[in-house]
Amino acid sequence: MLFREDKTARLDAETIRKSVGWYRWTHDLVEITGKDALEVLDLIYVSDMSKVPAGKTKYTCMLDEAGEIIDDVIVMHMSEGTYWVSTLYGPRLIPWLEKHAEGKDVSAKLITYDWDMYAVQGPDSAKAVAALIGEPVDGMKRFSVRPASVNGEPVYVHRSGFTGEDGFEIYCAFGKSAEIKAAVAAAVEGAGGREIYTLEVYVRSIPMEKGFALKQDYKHMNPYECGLGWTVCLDKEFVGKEATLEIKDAPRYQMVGLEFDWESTEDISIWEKVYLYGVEVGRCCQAIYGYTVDKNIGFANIRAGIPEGTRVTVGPNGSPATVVSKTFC
Amino acid sequence: MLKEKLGTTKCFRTAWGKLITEEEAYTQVNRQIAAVCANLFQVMRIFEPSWEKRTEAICDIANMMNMAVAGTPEEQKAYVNMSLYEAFNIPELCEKSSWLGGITGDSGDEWENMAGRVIQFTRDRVEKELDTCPWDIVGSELCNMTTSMFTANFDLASSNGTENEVALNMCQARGCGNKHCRVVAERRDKYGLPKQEWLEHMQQPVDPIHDTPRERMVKAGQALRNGQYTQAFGEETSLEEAYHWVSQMGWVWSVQFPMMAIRDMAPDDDEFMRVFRIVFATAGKNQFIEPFAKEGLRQHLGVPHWVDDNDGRLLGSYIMYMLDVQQVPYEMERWTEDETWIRVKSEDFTARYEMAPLDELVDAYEAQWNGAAKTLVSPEWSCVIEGRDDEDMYIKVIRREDPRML
Repeated sequence: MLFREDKTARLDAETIRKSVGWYRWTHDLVEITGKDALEVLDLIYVSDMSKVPAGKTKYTCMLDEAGEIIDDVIVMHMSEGTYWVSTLYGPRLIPWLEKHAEGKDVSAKLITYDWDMYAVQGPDSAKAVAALIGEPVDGMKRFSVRPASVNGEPVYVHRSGFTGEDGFEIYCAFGKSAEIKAAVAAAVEGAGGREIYTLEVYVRSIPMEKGFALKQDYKHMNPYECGLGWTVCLDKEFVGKEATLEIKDAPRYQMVGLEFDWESTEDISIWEKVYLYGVEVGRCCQAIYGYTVDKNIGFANIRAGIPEGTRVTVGPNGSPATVVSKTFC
Repeated sequence: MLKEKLGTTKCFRTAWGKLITEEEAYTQVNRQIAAVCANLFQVMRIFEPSWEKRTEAICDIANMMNMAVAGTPEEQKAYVNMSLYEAFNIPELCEKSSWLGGITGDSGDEWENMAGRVIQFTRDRVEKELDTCPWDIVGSELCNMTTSMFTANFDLASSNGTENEVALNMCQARGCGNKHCRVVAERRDKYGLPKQEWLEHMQQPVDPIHDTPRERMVKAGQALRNGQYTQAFGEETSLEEAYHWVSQMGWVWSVQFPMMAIRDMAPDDDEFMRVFRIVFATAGKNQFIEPFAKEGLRQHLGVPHWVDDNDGRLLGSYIMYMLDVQQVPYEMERWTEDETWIRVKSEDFTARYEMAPLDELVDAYEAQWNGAAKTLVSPEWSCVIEGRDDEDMYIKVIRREDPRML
């Protein structure tokens, strides 16, 4: 939980929003290669992966046959025919990919423990990263990735992040992590920033304020039900397309934001029930304090058709909340 | 339009046809294991009058056994990364550190219907607060014992092998009558704290706590409230999985671990078993001493009015209910007004968790159910368990004269 009066957490949030902060952030990485790699990626992800040239990256979703999101990832086209998939569920992605790659020339390998990653996030992040790699990064577009070096060590720089601010991800060999960490810390401090300490700030609070959800928030949801319809390319085949077309026309649920009235959220765990006039209408994915908006906020998956401004209650003690947009600031 | 179908929900049927929901059974199994634990701790208090000595002894064994589940000392060093990798998608998981031990503690709590919340989860400090605990009847020795198990969790997650970097304090405990249970882990180097001995884990933390007010407290764990436990960083456990986990592991940590130490407190095995059976027999007699307790059971199981007060099936149906709640498979062999025979695979009854058979459960329940027979039905009735060394054993509720009743 995060509380309004937590000074460290507030400073962490302010650093990301107003300056630049760094933190170590690891997720699973799966490397996908082979001459049919693009074809298989195009089948398991909803976006048109052929439109992602080498050096570019793409946020997209993976669905099951029922059209429900089972993972959301960033596919990074590292070099011609070589892709990295950034996911929190690498060991589950590989068998899923293999299931849909029968007879294809494609191989998938978990490289999580080969590559470490440091996130540099905030409005001054370009200044910090330029100092880190010794060359300007202004020309790098968002969702692009390129090789660089830090003190002679090869790294990849990815202009992206999970904060809603300008930001970069620095991928380095795991064995060189300590050296890169020290260099990142120095570069960020040189740009007027600092290390971010509070996990829940950079995993939950900061992303939620900008409408960024985690995979578990999308449970049982289709992209068209949670504001991710823009990732879907209907001009191609993909797993879950048939169901997606049905849901697109008649969504069952919607992902919304909740603003809570009370000072804290002790009785609201993850996946708590949401009630409208005492009738369960959905689940609150998580509630947390947002230091930029200075409110307790949350995501909820509720019945389609309930408009913004609707008053609901959440959890066993009837915590009152208002339905709002899931992008809080 | 008429309803075309009835809704469905998981439940089991009592001997008399009443349906017990999964949620109710799950609640009951937690409390039942706690009740056996409470009886066992009375045995401990008889054999070891010193609170300090008995608490230290159970702490030692519980810590050792909790470490042992992770494997050899070498395997223990890799335990967090290897075993928890699938379940916990925490960005920092690649960097082992004691504070990650707080995550395993949180899931175990919620699975066992210890309802609460993680107040703080940072590299320097972890604070966990509980509003309820089914084991709150046992006593403070058990609260202390759980700190030794947390210590193992934090040891297994530590960055320097298998010795944690935190001061770990259960500064409040439901088992001591506090409003909350609260465990706080604070990094020793950050807070300037010394390494602790077993009996030093119930001190106050350095930083102030966050005390959830009564109106925001919860009465049931996530599995009961929401049908699943979800940990902040992704891991999910369904009510079914949590229930099954408790039915196996609840016995292991809260009964088997302390049992190993308590047996050693007795002068010998015979004396241990003599006292053990007496304590459980007394607990059984007291279960139904009041008429309203019998009436409550009849209502709960749906016993029809034509079953009179001296019918052994009252106890038989209670035992069946208890086996169902505990997820122990059984077959009915006889079910008449003169006798109830329930056939159970001996291994199913004793080895709830396959790796850790608990033979004492046969003695405990035979003594307790025999005691219960005297008050739930009448002194004409007894419960005996026959064939405990065979593949199948028989739990029998029969009329039997017993001139040396316990």
